[in-house]
Amino acid sequence: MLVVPLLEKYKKYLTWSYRTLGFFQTAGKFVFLFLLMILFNLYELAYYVPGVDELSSSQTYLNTYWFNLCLMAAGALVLTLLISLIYRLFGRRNRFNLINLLETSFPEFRTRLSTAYDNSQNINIVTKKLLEEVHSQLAAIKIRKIVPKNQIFRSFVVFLLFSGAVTFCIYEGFSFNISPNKLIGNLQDNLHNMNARAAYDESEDVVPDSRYRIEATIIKNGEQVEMEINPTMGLGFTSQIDADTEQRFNESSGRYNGNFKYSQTYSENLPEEYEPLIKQYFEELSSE
Amino acid sequence: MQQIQEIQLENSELNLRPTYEKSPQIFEVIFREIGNSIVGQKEMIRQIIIAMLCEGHVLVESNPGLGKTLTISTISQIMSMRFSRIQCTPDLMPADITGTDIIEEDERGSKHFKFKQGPVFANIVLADEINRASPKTQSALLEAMQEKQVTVANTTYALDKPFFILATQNPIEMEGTYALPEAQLDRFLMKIRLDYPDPDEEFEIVNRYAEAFRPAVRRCIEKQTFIELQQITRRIPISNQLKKYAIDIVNQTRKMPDMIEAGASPRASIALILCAKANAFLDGRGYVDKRDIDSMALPVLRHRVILSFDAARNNITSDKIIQKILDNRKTTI
Repeated sequence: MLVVPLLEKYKKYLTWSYRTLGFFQTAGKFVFLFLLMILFNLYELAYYVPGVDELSSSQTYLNTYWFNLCLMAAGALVLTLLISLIYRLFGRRNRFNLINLLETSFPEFRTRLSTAYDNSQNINIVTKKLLEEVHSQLAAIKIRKIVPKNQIFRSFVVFLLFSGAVTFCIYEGFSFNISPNKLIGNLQDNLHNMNARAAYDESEDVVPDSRYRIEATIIKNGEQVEMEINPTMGLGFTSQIDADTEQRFNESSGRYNGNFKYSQTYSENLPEEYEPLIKQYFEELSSE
Repeated sequence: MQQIQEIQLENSELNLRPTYEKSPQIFEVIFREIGNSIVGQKEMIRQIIIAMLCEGHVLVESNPGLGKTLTISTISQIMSMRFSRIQCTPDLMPADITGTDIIEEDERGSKHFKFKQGPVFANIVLADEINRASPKTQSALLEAMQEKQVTVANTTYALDKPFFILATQNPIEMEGTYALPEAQLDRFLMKIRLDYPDPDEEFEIVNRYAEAFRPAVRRCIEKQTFIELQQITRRIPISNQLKKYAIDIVNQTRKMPDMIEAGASPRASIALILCAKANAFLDGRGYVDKRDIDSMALPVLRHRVILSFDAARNNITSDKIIQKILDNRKTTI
């Protein structure tokens, strides 16, 4: 009964200071985003929106420079609203809670104030004394002490600084030599170069198994002999093996090599002593 | 009608004002007088007074010879209360505690039944080695604790106020004992563990009690004053945040199935908040602080949790678990 009206009075007083703080903080965010947009020529992004280009060319009130500035200001405003909304959704808003604020500002009040507030309707001999004590202590508080003066001042200074920077950029036409179109152009160039390089590398790749288009088979007693080597036996027909072979092929490509025989098939008339030799050859090949 | 009720409430509150205003001095005198007789054991004395302020009962687990009887009899003398002691044994019968109807003959020779009150009809009762009494006798005593009345031969007798039972049990000798069931343990507001005094305290004890003159105990407060202190204790306010904090601690005991088989009941939440109020009152504070809840959590909860087999096997005590819960909750407020 005693404490609540006093808290209400303080709340009214502090609500205004917190609104001022909130205004400067939001204004600071807006000006900062606007500055970023000017510096990085982000108005170009707006021209990706259908109709903006036509609007820019058809409107006669503003020249292109000021029209672009208006576009960036609108963008900054939308972003500021979005950020505020996200802060509100995730509870990171600078919410004003008088009890918490008083408890933080005056730690000796902690627990006592919340107890008095929670039990303000439950009057008995103990709570009455507690309410009287808390009331007298609250009344002695200089509420101006807990006005967030520093925060308001800081937000105001930040707002002023960014506003100055924005004014400078607008009147001097200053911005960085970076823009979304340039970035996108660079990105596309880089992508194109990367693709071209990848295609070139691909064409350079050696695929020995398909390169010679020669298929060797062994036919014995009129039936084709299975030439596949179990992968667990060794490397099998690897690119390494075939690359070695390729070397020999390359050596012989320029002139006739009498030692080298192209042989696609082995006839069944192959002398018997050749069979272990061939077997040994493949075993060695597989064991390499 | 509502107006009359409000006026009555105000009057009843006004009656408590003198006691409330004098309470810091009253507590100071109580502790000073007990300190004249008892050396050390300050924590036990404080917890007993807290339990008495909350109209609860205490189970003390200690070895013999640590001054339980002396403490409790001293308290009863200081507060001018009736004190009785029951030495529990396996052959103790319920009637030995509650009392019984006896046949009495008057001057004219006519005989009639007269109720002979048992030792439970006192303000402070010491039930020594309660776990030695049979379950039937234990339940008779526990019924008196809970209901603060005794029923003998279909007649109910109200017990005098304030009514406080201090039951003891020996943690070592378990042979021939009947362990108190968990449901009955829950009725004790607190379980106090007593340890041996340190050498300095023991030196002082020897000095005091090996001499010819034993310290005299003065009567300090009236029974009615203590009843008023009990009423004021329940009026100590607590914030909603701290109520939730106390409930959360009790709730945590139900969320540890790997260590606790059965957690504390809602009666534990009530007990914890009440004891915190009494602790704040003893400190001369008109509101409950977090420290009050933290300091009362161990004696209030240690006998209300049933440890799992794994916890018992790994020598994890209920005290360790409750302390862990408190440590985890330290950052919440």
